[in-house]
Amino acid sequence: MIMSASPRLEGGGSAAPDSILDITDLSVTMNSAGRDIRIVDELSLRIAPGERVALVGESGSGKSVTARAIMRLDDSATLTGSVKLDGQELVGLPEKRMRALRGAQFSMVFQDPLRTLNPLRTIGDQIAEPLRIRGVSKRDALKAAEETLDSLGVVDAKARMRAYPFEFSGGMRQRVALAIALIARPKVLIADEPTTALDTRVQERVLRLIDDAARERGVAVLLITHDLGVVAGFADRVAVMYSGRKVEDAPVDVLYSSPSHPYTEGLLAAVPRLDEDQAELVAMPGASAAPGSRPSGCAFHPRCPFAMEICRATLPLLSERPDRAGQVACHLRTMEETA
Amino acid sequence: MIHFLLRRLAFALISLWALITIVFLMIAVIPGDQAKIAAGEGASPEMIEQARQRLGLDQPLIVQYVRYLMRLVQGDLGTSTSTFQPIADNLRDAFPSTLELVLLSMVTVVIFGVSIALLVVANKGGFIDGTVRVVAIAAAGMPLFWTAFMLQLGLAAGQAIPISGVLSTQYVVPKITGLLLVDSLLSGQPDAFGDAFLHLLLPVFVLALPQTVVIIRTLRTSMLNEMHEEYILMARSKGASTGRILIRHALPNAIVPMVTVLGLQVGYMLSGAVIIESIVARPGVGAYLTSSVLQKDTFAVLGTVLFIGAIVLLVSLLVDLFQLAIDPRVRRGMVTRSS
Amino acid sequence: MSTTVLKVFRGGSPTGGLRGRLGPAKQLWFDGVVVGLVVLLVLLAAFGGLLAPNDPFLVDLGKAFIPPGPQHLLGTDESGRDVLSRLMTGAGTTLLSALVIALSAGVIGVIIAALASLAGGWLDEAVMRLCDIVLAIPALILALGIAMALGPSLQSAIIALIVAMWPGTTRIVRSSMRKNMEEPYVEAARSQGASKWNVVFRHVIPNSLDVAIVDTAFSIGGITLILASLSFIGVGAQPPSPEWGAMAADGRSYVLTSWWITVAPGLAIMVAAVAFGLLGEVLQARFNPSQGRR
Repeated sequence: MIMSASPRLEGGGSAAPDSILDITDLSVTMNSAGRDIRIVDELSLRIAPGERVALVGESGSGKSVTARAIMRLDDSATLTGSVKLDGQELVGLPEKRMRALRGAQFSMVFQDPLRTLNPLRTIGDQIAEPLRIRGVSKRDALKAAEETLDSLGVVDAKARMRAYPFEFSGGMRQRVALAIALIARPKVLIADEPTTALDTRVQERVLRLIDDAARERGVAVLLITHDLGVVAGFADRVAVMYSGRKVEDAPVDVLYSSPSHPYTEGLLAAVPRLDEDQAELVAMPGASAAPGSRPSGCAFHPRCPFAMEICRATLPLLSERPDRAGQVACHLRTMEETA
Repeated sequence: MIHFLLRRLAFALISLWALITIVFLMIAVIPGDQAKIAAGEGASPEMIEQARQRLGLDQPLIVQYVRYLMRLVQGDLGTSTSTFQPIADNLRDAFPSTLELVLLSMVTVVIFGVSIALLVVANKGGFIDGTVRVVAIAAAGMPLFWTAFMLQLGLAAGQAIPISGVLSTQYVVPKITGLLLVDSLLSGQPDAFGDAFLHLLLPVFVLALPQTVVIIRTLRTSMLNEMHEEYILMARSKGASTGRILIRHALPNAIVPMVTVLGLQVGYMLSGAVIIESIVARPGVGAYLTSSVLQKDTFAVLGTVLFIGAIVLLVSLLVDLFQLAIDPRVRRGMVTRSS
Repeated sequence: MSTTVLKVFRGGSPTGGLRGRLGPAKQLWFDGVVVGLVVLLVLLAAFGGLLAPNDPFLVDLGKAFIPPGPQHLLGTDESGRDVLSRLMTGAGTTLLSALVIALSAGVIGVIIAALASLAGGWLDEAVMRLCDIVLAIPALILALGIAMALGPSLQSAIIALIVAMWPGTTRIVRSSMRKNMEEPYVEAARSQGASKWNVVFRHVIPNSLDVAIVDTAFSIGGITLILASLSFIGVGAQPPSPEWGAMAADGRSYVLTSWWITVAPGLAIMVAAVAFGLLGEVLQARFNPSQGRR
């Protein structure tokens, strides 16, 4: 039985907090070619313990940067705002203390499992590593690794421990990545496009796996993806990002049945559906703006079929949806609300 | 893997054969009468004629070539016209001293090269990085004999570190392996060991300096490349410290291409030994070569060239085999990315 | 560059990419200083002999072993000859020889690479294998053997080094050619009926030339070092030649007492080697900016 290897967190644990991950007005600025660019702009997001939240957006929306910023994996990024993990403030936390949290309190699964696994070390070693870093003995750590692999449905886990990453298929490697992420019993699992590099058949299975594994362990999941198709069967809640800002936040069924933001509508219209007859797939015109050259006002206005004068001039702020089911940042909806 | 092994061995053998042929061509090309050279100064016409027949110089070139090959197979490199002994014997006596020097230099290169490279990578862009770069430029351009002379000049007054010779006259060490460091320990003379070690300091420094610079640069580039790889990001997300990442993840992956470089270095070490052994009065292969040149002993020179060339080929074969052993991808049949 | 650095970084900078770390303004300075230094060296090589204050060959034992001073800026050697004059005269010998070697090896290397790519097939492979084998032997050792076999002299050393160096150029140029042969414009030319010869000569070779030029420039420093080493050992320039390596050999017995006899030529070699190495960097940056970012 492995004792929990995670350090005590300040400010958490006495009463169960209503959010395990609490992001408030997070802005991430990076320096590119001499200019400071704000990649993520005042993002706020709350995840309850055990909840599944999907963060959806196109490439360039800032979703991956958000994920890495939460774990502070990128030293060149400047963070303002607040990110609280189980009550513990992460922004401004000294690196040493941050390190103690990584892998144990929260962990991450990446997009390409081939490249995120060290080619020269056995998978057993790599799964055991989060525990070894915390001083667990090699034997105990390897045993835990084997158990974790086994619980993820890997047959003959014992033999597989000695194998190297290149000997496995993509789906298997993601299981390994998942084992690494779960072995130290984190509270939050961040999955950054975990299925993008996989075949569609395998995608479904891996998502199922993440779902079951997280549910068993009571782990909250933040799923980062551009694919609304995978979100439907997985998430409890969906937050939509566009050009660095959150534009909509709603429970999954509400989002799919009645999307509020025009961008969300566009995204949904572009997803092929098996249960409906679609005359044609509608692709959204235009392309997402690069972080350094955002349009004025609402970043989506050049592509929005409902764009008004005010959309070009003023940035819409998040407000409650008309039906009170979630949040949306759109002048049109705000006007409808007050109308 | 067997396939790879066989191809590599074949290449080694062909290279060896090519080397032998090249040396033979060099012998054939010697201006003047080889018989005269072999017979020595002031030989009578009959003696020259005898030498001609003995060496088979009256035969067609092809026959000479075959005879040459056959003699080589028996380990016969010819006779020195300065020592009047078989060249092979001379080399056998001279080799241990050079071996000692080269081995110790390689060890020094690895120890200092790797540690300084680690420092430079951890300190990227900082003071150490800059200083090492500048020193590297100078070190790369220094002629070895000049470095050796400068050190001798500098250390002569101090008397602490000997500037020539292999052992102070008061010590007598029996010849067991021929390696003074080993023999002094085997014969229970720790003082002699210390003395022999001191005598090695200057030549080892001279030989190791340019090679260490090469290793630092190679390893630095290699490691910085590795640091951009995704598995490093993964390791960070597990909570690994910079030190752990450098040593347990980046370094092993960076070392694989470095081993090839190390193999190359043996050739340059031997070249260096040729230049400086006579300067520091070490009775090794280099000194033998230098004195043979001065004595116009062409056969000894060419025999030594063949000997050194063969050693370099052998070492490069061993290096490739070693790489085979440490890279699991090659072991299990995958083609490595650095073939 | 030491023989090591020459070989390992064939195709890249032996001096560590220092230039790459400088901003554009400083880079211009850098280029200027380096080119200036090289021009100085070349001028020295060409006219050093004429400008030398004293006769570099005049033996005057009464004036032997004079330390550096106002009369003899770098002192005199064991035969009473003015070291500075010998250094200036020897510049021509050393540097000119190094240049000859580098250029010859470069030209031969390019020609053989071109022939190999024309021939294609097993002949191409065989040539490349031959290059690999020659390159497997340390240049100094190989050149030493050849020079000895031909009879120790400056000419022998030059020939020996040309033989040792051309495979390096061939290898690099050949891989550049291989890449160029796959370029779309080659296909286009062939589809218009150009013969293989035509294509190789008019398209592929000229485009691989910049690689060859940079490589040749980089090699000069290392060649200078090896050449000097060969003379030092005794298979290159013979006394009383003022070739820098030979000068260093002359003075080796007197290092501890009359250090200037060896230190001066050694320093000169080092300066030349570093200068040419940096020149290579400048050329690479100007010709081939995509390569060699270290």
